[in-house]
Amino acid sequence: MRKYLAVLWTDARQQTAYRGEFLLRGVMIAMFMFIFVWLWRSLYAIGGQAEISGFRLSQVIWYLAMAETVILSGSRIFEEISAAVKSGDLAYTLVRPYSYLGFEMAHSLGGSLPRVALNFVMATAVVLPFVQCVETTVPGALGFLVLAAGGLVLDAAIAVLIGLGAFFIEEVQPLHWVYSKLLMSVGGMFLPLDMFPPWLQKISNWLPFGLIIYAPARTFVAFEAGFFLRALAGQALYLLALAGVLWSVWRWGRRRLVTHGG
Amino acid sequence: MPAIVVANLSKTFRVKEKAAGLRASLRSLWKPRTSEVRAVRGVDFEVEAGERVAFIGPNGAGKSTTIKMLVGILYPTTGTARVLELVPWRERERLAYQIGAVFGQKSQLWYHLPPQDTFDLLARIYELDWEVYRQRLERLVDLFEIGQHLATPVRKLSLGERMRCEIAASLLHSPRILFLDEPTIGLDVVVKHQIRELILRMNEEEGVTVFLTSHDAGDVERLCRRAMVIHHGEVIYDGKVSTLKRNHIRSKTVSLKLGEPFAGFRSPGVTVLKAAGTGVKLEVDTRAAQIDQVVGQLMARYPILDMTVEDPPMEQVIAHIYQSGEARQGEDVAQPGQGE
Repeated sequence: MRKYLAVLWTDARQQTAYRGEFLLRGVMIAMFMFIFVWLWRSLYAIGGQAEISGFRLSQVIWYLAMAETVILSGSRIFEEISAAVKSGDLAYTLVRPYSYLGFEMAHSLGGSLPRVALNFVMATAVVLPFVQCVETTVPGALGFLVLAAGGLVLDAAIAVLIGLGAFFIEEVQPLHWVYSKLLMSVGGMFLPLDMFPPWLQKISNWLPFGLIIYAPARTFVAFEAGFFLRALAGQALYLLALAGVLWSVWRWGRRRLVTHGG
Repeated sequence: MPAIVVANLSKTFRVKEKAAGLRASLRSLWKPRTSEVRAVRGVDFEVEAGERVAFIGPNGAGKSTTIKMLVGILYPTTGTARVLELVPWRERERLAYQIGAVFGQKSQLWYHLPPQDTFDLLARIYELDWEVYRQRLERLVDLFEIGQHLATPVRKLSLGERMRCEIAASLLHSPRILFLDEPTIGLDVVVKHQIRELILRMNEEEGVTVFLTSHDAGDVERLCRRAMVIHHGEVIYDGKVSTLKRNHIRSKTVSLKLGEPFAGFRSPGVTVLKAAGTGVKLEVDTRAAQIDQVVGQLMARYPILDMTVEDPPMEQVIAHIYQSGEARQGEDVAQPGQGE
């Protein structure tokens, strides 16, 4: 395990090797949050309600800040993996004594770690002056940390699986496009799933996408022990299932690995 | 005990094929066409512990594919291999602790971080005791003279500096076998020389088995006593480097400094390569003419002030082997040690 933590830590440092470029990435979430604040302020003003589906305006804004913090820190490792599968360069990472899947997961999470910290700081900096309060509790903040970590691991596992898709299809970008749109829609990226019609809410609750965004963000603003434990169990189950799929795909793909330069 | 034992090792790849144009693209969607490429065809050899072996061949001959099977990266189609008693593709992780690999065209260092960070990470990956690692690194830093580069991001290092760091990184865990795939590609002559001397030193001092592929004849001549030539996926020569050179030298180069201006020379098997004033360079085809007879004829015709007779460069020898594409079953296939 220590070696994977070392990979994670090395990647996290590589991410921040260029401070200027790294900080520039924070501009994106600041812009998004600025737009969300004005949009939701208007929606609450037009509706004239203090709460929508049990959420106050300040809660929705903090929900979105946390949702964006997670989603904008997500993994793009599929690009690297699929390119390496196609070029055969994947082979070069196999000369070291580690599990390839473990290495790529650590590699991906190492990239996400500094981004989470940056996005959290930037989102908070934009949101706080507008709402003038922090909509969380100590269990809520701790629960968020746990579920956000679980969500990012789940996201990294899906990204690795998409990358390994290059063993089967030439271009994996469409797969990632579908995945990112599902995250946006039924993952709770634009609004809490509680605001969905009940039938869609029911479907979304069974899918893994909400476990990546909705579960940590909702826990931050409205902690409920039952919800937290259910979400944690859901993440664990999906991770277990994904680990099985990843292992099978990898075992099968490794035998098909073609390298160039003969 | 042999460090590497390979028997009837083969690798066949399936490669997708698609003709140009939209129609072909659409057709390939439901009826993809593939073809088979036989990269390695029934290769057999053994390498003793501590040996330095060159595994050479033209592009696409199957060298890298063989190396990748030996380090456990690729599964073979048929055949077996044991590296340090392990089957590489089944026991890749266990084997990785005992071997080092350098791929000249692919950096193993973290590009945006200084080499020190990669070394520290590798120490964790190879589960080295931290004190043992510090001592080992100190020795390698001294040997490879990379002390001043440890804190510089890899992207800012010159190719030569980077390659010294790459090889040091591959030796951190004291591997028993070092696989080198084009370790001197793109380097200038001085750095090439340094790298060769360092590899030689690691072999002599630590008994590291060296398995080298290179297009650079200098690497082969300086580093290895034994060479295997692979062509079209088959080993067509396995013997001493010196024998390889001797058996395939079909010509000698004779350089002369004459006592009077050169006015031509004709003899069967002799070609004038260059002539300017009293200086002349001739190529003698040793199958058509004997070198002493040619020299005798020259001495009878011209006063000779100075003369050197040289073998053609190793590049030419290797090129000759590739071009002639000799069959494996030919007389060139000698077992190691039988060549001289």
